[in-house]
Amino acid sequence: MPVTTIDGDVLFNWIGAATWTPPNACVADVAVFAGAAGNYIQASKCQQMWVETYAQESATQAAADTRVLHQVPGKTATILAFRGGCAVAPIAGNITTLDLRKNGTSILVAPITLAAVVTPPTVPTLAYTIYTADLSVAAAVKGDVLELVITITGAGGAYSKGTWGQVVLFEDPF
Amino acid sequence: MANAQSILATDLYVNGQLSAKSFTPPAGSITDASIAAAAGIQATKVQREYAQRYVQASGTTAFAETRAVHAVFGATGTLISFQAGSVTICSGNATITLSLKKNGTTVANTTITLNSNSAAYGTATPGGFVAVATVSGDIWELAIAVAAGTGVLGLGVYGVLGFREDPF
Repeated sequence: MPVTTIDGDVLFNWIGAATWTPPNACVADVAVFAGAAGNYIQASKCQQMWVETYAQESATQAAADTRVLHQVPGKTATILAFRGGCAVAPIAGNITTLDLRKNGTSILVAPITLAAVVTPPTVPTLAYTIYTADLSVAAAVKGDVLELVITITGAGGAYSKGTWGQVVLFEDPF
Repeated sequence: MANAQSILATDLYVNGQLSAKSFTPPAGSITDASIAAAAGIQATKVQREYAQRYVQASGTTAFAETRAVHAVFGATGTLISFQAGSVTICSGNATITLSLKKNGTTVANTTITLNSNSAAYGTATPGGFVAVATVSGDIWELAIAVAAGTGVLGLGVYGVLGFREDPF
């Protein structure tokens, strides 16, 4: 079909089209209908962000624990981050580690270590501070199971309290 | 549209700004790329998906319990999926059975049975499952039943409920 080109701005009182290719980034929030039942942007058209957290009790020293954090319901997913921390910092030689497994296999370059005695430049773990691990695998697909693994080693002081781990994902819809 | 309609029977390219007092985009014309990176589309305009999970500790033998796993916030919603599994599977004739209750009543076609034929870290789904409508205030429970028989129960049972809900 021939194309008519207009080199200038055009203002229509009303415009419709059989097909329309919107310019990139032209739709802002105000352009989206405020919505009512039946007019929301359907979840099946939107990527979803999941933030899944497991925490042990805030006044209790860390205990060895393995928990499923998430099973991917979306068709495909990208793991954005694995984070962890504690409400009360560890003392002396007691060490807590946080690992993330996908279907039983670790997908971290190294677990997060919560420890008071460390080798510089690593700094001792602080309370209410977020620690992030590097991922060796970020891709996931429907059905993949993500597990948090908490382990404890060492003695002579106290383990972190209120230990928590969190995985953050972007997923395509169910 | 109150004004007379002009029809341009060709493709039209405006090498400038195109604006209109009103505009009805054709169905399916707006894609992700159309949306401004900083659009900040309000949550009240968008449906949401929730994947609500309940898990027993990965090293713990499955045990019977019933837990609330979701209270519906949106005006209306739909249970889209239910899946479950265990970190290690049952052996022998041991079975783990998971099912769903809505407001205390068992929902038909939501029973999943895990046995020695199930897969570790698997994704079992209920036979005959169909999407279930739900409304604000509905409480969904996951019920886990176990039967060890002469076998050994699996460890680390988990269940995931997938919901789509309208905004609050």
